[in-house]
Amino acid sequence: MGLRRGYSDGMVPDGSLGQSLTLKAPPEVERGIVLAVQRGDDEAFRELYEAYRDPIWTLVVSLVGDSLQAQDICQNVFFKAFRGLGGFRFESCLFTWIYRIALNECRNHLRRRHVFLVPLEAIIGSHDEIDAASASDWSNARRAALRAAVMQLPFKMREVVVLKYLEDMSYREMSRVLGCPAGTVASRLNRALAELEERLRPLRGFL
Amino acid sequence: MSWRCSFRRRRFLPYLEGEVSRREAMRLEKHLAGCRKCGEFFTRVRIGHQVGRQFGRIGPGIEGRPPEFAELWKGKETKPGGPERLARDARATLRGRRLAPAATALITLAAAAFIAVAVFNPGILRRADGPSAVSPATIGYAGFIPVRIREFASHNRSPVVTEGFVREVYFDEQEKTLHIKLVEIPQKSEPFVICEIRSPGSMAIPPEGSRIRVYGMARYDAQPGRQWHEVNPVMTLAVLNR
Repeated sequence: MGLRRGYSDGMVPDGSLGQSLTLKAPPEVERGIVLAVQRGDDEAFRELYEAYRDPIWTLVVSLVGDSLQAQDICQNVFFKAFRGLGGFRFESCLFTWIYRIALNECRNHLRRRHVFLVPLEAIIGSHDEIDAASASDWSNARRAALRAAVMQLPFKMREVVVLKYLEDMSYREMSRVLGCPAGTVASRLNRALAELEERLRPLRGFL
Repeated sequence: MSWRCSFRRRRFLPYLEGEVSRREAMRLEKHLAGCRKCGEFFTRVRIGHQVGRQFGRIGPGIEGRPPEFAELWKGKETKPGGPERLARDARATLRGRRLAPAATALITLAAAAFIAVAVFNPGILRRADGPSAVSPATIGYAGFIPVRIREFASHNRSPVVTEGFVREVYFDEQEKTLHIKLVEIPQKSEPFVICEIRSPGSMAIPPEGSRIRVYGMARYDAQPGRQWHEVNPVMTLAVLNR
């Protein structure tokens, strides 16, 4: 999936700044890991978990917006992955398969939960507050506004934005994970980006 | 928005990221210069793309960490059978279990039917990866419902045969599919259907203005910005005159 970018304000899951490689193992390596898990090798599943934990965490926490809920969801994702590996038939790559579980878990979770939207203006503040704010306050508010704009997107739009800009996936990879044609992914991403522009338009002068 | 705009818009992001050929870039720029709606939409997508890239740099900004490996089973009543149970189930699946007699009989019957078809009607088994691979004679003309283009609304998800004039032809470079806009009346742009040919291969493309007969599955594409009737996939087509 490529190099995942380090976040400029710190706090990647291991608590350190910097980057980590997501797993893009050759098919034979993936096959070996899955077969080992199917044979009952606990260490193989640990290795699988350690490899996929961070990208799945990034996805889940970006979609649900809450770390405690993200922890529960991640637990469910890998629990289901562990159960499902017995019947894994290598019809897709392992990462696509696990990602699909993760997306479904997030969707199901958000369907059950009512999401309260905070207006962007409440995050960014009034004009007077902005004028009085220090540069670092302003920078934090700007980041918060960007994040809020993404988090307020409808789920299907948020999905593609996260997969594209956080997970650095191509259209083809997204279409495999989402189970829809690449053309549909492209259209959905366009609409998501246009929606982001519209939501941030009133604040454009300040961003 | 025309159907051509719909396809052009899919290439906005690859264009912004420098991932289109020079030729395609020139075509896109020409379209944007001539189509006000696409030009405005492109501007929004471009700004949204900059926002997306910034989001990619700063991330969700949520503190926390994923569960440690040992914490995975916390809160679950039992570990799901453990990997030993998992492996036992997997081995049983991989080896193949002994089937019940009824299941065995069913599979034998299905295999016999398959062999009969292969021997007496091999054409059916030919891979239908392009419109010329399956002929109406193989499928059986009676299986396709003759439908006028204006009547497509009543035949969603049915095998249909329709006739019309080629108004426009477009090749989707991303999905490698050929799209033909078929109209009922040559001088008018509506009513129309979009005929999607998934593997055109070396098929001769019918020229604009030619009258063709198309066999395939009637569908309705309800995606925003599309919302048109389709013959998708096209199983075969015949040019009636040039």
